[in-house]
Amino acid sequence: MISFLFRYFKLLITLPFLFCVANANDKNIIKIGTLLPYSGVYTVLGEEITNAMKLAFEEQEDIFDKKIEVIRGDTEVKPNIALQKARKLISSDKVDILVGPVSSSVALAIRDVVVQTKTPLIIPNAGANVLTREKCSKFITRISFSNHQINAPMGTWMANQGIKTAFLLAPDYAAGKEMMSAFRDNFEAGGGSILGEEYTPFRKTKDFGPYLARIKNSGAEALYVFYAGGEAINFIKQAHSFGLGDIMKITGAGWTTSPLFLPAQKDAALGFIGSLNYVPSIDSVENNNFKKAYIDKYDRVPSEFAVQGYDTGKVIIEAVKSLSGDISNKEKLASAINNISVTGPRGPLTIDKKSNNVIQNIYIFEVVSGDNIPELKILDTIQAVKDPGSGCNL
Amino acid sequence: MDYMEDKMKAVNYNPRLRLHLFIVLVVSALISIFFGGYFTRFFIAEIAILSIFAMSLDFLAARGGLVSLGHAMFLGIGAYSTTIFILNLGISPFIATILSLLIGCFIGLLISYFIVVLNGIFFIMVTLALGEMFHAWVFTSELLGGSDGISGIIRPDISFMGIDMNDPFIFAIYSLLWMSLIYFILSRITDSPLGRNLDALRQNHMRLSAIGGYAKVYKIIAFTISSGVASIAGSLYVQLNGFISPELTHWTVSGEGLIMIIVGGIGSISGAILGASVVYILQHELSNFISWWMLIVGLLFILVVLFMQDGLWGLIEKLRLRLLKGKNKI
Repeated sequence: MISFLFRYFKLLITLPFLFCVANANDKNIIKIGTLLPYSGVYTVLGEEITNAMKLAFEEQEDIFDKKIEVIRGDTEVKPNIALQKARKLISSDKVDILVGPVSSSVALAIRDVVVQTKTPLIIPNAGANVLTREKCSKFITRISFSNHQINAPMGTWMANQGIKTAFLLAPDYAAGKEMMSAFRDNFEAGGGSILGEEYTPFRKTKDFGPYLARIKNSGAEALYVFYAGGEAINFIKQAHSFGLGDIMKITGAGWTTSPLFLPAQKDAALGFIGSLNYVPSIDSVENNNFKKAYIDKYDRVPSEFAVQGYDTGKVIIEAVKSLSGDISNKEKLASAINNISVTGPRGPLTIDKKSNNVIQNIYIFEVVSGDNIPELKILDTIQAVKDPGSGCNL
Repeated sequence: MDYMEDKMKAVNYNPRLRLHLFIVLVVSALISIFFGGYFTRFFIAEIAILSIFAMSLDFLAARGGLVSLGHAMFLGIGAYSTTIFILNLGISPFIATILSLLIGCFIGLLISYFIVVLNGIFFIMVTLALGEMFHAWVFTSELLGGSDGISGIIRPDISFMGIDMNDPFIFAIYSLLWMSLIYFILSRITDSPLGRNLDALRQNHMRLSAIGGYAKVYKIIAFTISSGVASIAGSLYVQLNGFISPELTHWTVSGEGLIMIIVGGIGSISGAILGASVVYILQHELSNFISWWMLIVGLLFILVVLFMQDGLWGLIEKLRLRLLKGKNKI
């Protein structure tokens, strides 16, 4: 038997000991672990967030003689892989702060590990409401948005504009439904009524024809829609060639015409009215500086995802500063992060003490024609929007 | 004629070598568990559970001659039924695993009754379709948490024995125990008359029927066993992660399982464990370094298919034969 074990010992080379390497913890390095998609469908978002966060770190040479090191963890948009990477970043790399993820299912998957190991987590995108409601934690801070936060103000705003009836259209998954129900609640509270709703198979819908016909037949004054990625591009183009914009107002969650998709949507997106936490046309010193720096470095207009990454970087820097660089106590670090208020490219940001969700301005915009590609013109700014944070006891 | 010869060839396995490889793998897993840190232990537990899944696919492909692209469905059935038993019905996790095994077997039995009459590409397409239907249903089901999944799943509580299952060390051992149990059951079946019948069936089902074998019954049995084993893997997987999301039921998971058994060598049960370990470790290590790791994994996979059709298992056998030859000369 022993000889047999020895004979196949070569095979063992791949197996054990590969992960046993414990990393020495250098006191002068602040380790930031990212849990973002660097492969798979959301690669662009992962890169945008990381790039912008690095930009924020580069603007700050060093903090109290400490260097910031970013360790990338590729979630592949798969919750189980992300969980594994989270464990690795926390226990092997011993990161001080985790940044991520992009999708809500991944965020919910890593939530328990983060809370159990008391590792501060800053969410730069995932929008599921429960993350700062029932599943909130003092170690989880969301610097991006909750699905409710973006869509609810739009319901009130549209009702105030005198729009009485609307039709809802979104992909059939948790976020799509959360957004629609946030809009519906406020729209109906403002006196509007929903004439119909459709949920299309997530990331599988290529032909929106049947839905467009049903939307037209509903006779609603406005369509409220949410799509992202390829579906957003397809939907906007098909709705345009269908002529839906001539029959009713096309409105929706602002990601549908994100600056990331506008180069592909072009003029088909004109007239779309949406709400978002950042639009590139915000005229402030912070935003103009940020846009210039980002375009100089990465040669493209930053999207709202980039801004969320940049603000994450800013928040980390401010939190470390407020502790005079001593980040050894994770509980203190988490509470420092939650006490930060900064003014970023999207305006003033504070963290809601009740739920650890960000309080921010929501911009209502219209897509208007620009130089080459359409631009987002701000119609209205709704100041300091909060998520209700119900069910959270911090 | 070559094609016929290939079909006639039994899937080779050598029970002694199989056991030795298994022991080597378990020993190296134990070494890693004992000396590794928090992350390594989790990682080994994950590999052990994936190995159970790979073994179920291996059994189905090698003994039953059925290649399934929808086997992640059974992973999902095990996972979701365990979740419901634990969270909604308050049943203890260990019993939930047993119950989900029964549910997996039952659903496997039902499905296989209708689909095992199909062969080759048709069987693959039907399993793929069934798997995708299950995925689409889970993805939109509010009861099952939809695309966000369900969290808060607990592990078996055996604190009365003074053992804390939430310690990754203990859970890794627990997963290894399950893996070993399933390895022994599957290798017993393989060496039993039923296994012989399945081998005969795969090679020539007409002849088997002609000499009085029940071709369909054997296939159903193979499929049912395999789906039960996959359900156990699913059940353990949610207990490991405390979390379930629909991604687990996607057909790509079945595809990855097939890659594992092809790399390991189809038909040798411990080869499936080896394949699962190698593929998973490779994926993990590569994705830490480069973002285009998928390309490398894909290329390696193509190379394995082109040049090592019996996978790593075939390589080991060749090595063994060469060593034996060397010995005989002396």
